[in-house]
Amino acid sequence: MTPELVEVKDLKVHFPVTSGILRRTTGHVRAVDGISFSIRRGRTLGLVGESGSGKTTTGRALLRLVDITSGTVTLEGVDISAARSHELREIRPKMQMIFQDPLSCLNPRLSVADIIAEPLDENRRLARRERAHAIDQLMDSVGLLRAWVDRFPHEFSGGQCQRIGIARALALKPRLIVCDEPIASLDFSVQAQIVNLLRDLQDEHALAYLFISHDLSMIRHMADDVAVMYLGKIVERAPVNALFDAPMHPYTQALMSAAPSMPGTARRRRIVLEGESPSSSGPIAGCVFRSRCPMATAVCGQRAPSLATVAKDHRVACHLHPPILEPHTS
Amino acid sequence: MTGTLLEVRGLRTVFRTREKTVHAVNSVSFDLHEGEVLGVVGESGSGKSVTMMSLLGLLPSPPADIVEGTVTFDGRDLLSMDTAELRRICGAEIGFVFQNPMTSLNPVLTIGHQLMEPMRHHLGLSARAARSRAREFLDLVGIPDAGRRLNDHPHQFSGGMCQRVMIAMALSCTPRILIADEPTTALDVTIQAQILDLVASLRERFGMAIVWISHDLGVVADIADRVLVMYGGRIVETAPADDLFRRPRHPYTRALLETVPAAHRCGRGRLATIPGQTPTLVEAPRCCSFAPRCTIAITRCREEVPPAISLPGHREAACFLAGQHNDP
Repeated sequence: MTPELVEVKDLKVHFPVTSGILRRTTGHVRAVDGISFSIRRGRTLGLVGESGSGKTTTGRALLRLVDITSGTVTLEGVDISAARSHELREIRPKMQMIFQDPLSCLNPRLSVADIIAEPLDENRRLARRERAHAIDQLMDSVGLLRAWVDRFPHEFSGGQCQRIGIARALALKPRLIVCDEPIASLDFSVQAQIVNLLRDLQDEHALAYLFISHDLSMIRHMADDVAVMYLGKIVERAPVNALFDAPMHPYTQALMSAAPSMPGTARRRRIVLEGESPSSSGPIAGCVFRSRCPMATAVCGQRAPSLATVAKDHRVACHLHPPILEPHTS
Repeated sequence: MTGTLLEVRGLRTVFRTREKTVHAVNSVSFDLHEGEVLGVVGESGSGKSVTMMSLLGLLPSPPADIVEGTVTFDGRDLLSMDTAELRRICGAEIGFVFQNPMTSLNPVLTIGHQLMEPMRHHLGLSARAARSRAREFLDLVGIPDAGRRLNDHPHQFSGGMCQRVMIAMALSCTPRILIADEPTTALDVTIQAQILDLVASLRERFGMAIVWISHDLGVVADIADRVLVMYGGRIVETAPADDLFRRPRHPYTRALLETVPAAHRCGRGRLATIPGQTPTLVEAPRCCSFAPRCTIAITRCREEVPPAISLPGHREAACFLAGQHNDP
């Protein structure tokens, strides 16, 4: 059994809402509200959900880029959620992030070489020769020409900028990369290039990915396990095939039927959900999905379902799916 | 076969700036038949939106300049019309839904005001009649409590609801053509599903022709009867939707379909990619714009622009090899 690289337990991230001239806290947005998951070395966890479901906040909390309200995040056994800033400095090189908009996450005034080497300059002391060598190797590994080192971000296309972002993320040889919608802003033909690159790098360096996306077909292609988020909670978590072959939570089912059928496959019947996700500012009694769920019953309004194991490795938070008794509790 | 509602021939649009001229639309010709849903797909910069905006004179000129072409709508030439005449058509007979619903609505006016404006202008309705019709259409696109929501401002609506308002506005004068430019791109998939269902039901009810621009092949496969594929400012392939996705004839269409991970097959395989980048369009095409990235390009592809070749089954492909190349 491979030990877990990242373990998240009951993670909560709440943002205060202030109002009035005194900026008093009048409430909280429960962006992430008690989620648990783990990622093994070299594996990919896909995180799906609609806007506002807390995907990005989860990714940021993993790297401690936002303050964690409660719960723990451990990377290789080190508790990130409790780490002090000098401890964080030691942990951070092991975890990196790739952002959604490739151009806006690159400093327009730095050359490609300086962008890629920035994490190195910050964390390691390299001689000029070694630094140049490291840059060359990173550029090779993401498929950028070495001749481009002195160019600036505006001279590159979206796909190339994303490659620069990936090279920068790789510079410190991380164990975990949080990919926040890394291909959402790219054209189809370029998306495939970046996805293949991420795959190759994963195999080469045994990287673990938290792959955040709203594109179900990309998640299916990239992920080993998938977690579906709705309003700050994980409503279903399962290995990729189990989830796509037999989605159990009504929200997952609706999400999958709503995704446009891929060309050439038979058109499926769409489950069209009524309404939109409610706001995550107030506490919601019962199941978070209740207001849009086509199968909601009285019990859904009274009690929030917990994420329970309903089949092997398949966890669902829904009253319709009673938990099975696990043979042994570990 | 139903009649042709809109006929576009040899449309060419360029953008002139001080440094350079960008050839955004290069000799685009297509027909739109009554009651059909025409999907337009292509990557960013392929000229999808510019083509449609050129039809109605919606592009600011300068920098945009429609150099060549004719656009015939119902026997009238749209390109030679003056602004006043175009205004009578735009909104009344041809409705437009833009990509970003939040920025297309005026934030300081109420939803009701914005909905009533085209009806009062085009249909000459009184304020009272326009208001009741506005409520009717808001109800139709599935906004609850329509009567009260007319007094709300756009910021009180979510993205999906704003897009519904835009659709209600475009439909309120019962246009004969609805042009929707990436209407669901900014929305979540479950909201997108709601909008797609809505459009399908509205089309049944009003029988208008729809031009649906999207970069999402899945959405187009879902909604369109016929599809235009654009690349580098040209139409590279036209075909009935099912045939296009089952048997693409242009190498670009084929490559594009292969890059999409199919939902039914999965695993740790690699995705097919199209090497290289999309063309920059700084000069008028002198050869096939896809030739540099094409795997089957021949010398001729780099020397002349391939014309649209008619193929059996009401389809066309702008490729020298489309006629000969059989299915792999």
